[in-house]
Amino acid sequence: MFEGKVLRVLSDPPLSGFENMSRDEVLWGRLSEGGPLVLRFFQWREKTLSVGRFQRTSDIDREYLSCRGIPLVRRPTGGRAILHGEEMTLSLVLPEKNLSLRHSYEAFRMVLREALWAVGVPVDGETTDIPVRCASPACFSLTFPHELAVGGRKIAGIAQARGQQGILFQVSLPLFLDREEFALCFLTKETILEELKKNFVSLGELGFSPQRRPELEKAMVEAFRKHWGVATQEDRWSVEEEENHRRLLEKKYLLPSYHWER
Amino acid sequence: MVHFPEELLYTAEHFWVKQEGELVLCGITDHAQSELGDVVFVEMPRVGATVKRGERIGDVESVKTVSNLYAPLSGEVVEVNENLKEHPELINQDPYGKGWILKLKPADLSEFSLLLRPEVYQEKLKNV
Repeated sequence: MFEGKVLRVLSDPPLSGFENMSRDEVLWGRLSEGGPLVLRFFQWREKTLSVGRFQRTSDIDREYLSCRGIPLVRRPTGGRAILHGEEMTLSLVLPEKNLSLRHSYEAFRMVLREALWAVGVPVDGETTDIPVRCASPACFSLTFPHELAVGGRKIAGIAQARGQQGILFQVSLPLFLDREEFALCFLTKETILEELKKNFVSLGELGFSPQRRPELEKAMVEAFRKHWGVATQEDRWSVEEEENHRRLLEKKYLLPSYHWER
Repeated sequence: MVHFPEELLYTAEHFWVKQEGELVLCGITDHAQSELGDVVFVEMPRVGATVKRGERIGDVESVKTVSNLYAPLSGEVVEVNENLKEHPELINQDPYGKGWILKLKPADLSEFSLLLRPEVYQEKLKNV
């Protein structure tokens, strides 16, 4: 599928949620046919609640976020809310518009699973393929098809956006998650806390230490090389990309109205 | 099992088109809704907007994915399915019926020749 193509690898320092989402949108918007795939590892400068592209914010406890100084950021991808903090986060942009949704999730999931296996995280070989219905506004309330789980409990949130230029994936793998605080970000706190206790487990709880994050990043790059046949290239942001990012940040991501639009 | 009604025309971007007098009714295909899974939100164009074939006219969000919607033909948007605002699941339940998305008044009838017959659309699906 991507045999022989170049996978450009970017590693960013901890940034605000607004900067992180703006950067991903710039990478996704700049995709060109035949151009490189891009894998970006990133971190969060502060605890941040992200919501899906069109997710309603009426389920969010705005007052709690305000009191705790937790910013809310709208992702370009779908899916439900995630409280980001101590976690491994990555995005992948693919200049491929014809790859089906199912195939794209399966191919990406295989790489992530192999990388996690390589560092000793016992990810389930298969997850449910049956569409599930869940009313929760929180991403980690339930495992959906093509996601990553250990013993049936979700360990990662994976979401996608598709456009004519290609596909953007965003992945959040919590190393540690304060379930109580995550649940407090919503109006239906008790229900969400119960769902998180039952259906979610963090990498830290599985014995994976946060200090091993670079090892996992390396395993992921290696898994892409091995399973997708890509040539990897560590890279930096170009001047043009930085400018596009600054413009998008000012025009869209720094405006509170955008994040609370729904 | 997804189906492709014989009387409809299709686009490679998974829209179906049905001619109704001077207007066309459009929505996303059974294949598209089945790939997306539960649709939770649809952003539709403004009634009265002029759109060009292939232009992005909105988005559809399912549980895990946001996908752009592209105009199947150039023309004027004369109606959108207001029911989808409250019931986006209609797209899953009845993609060729109650889950229709918009009605267009085509601006260029020659563009119909660019739409795909059901068998051609199905053949394209084998390659994705």
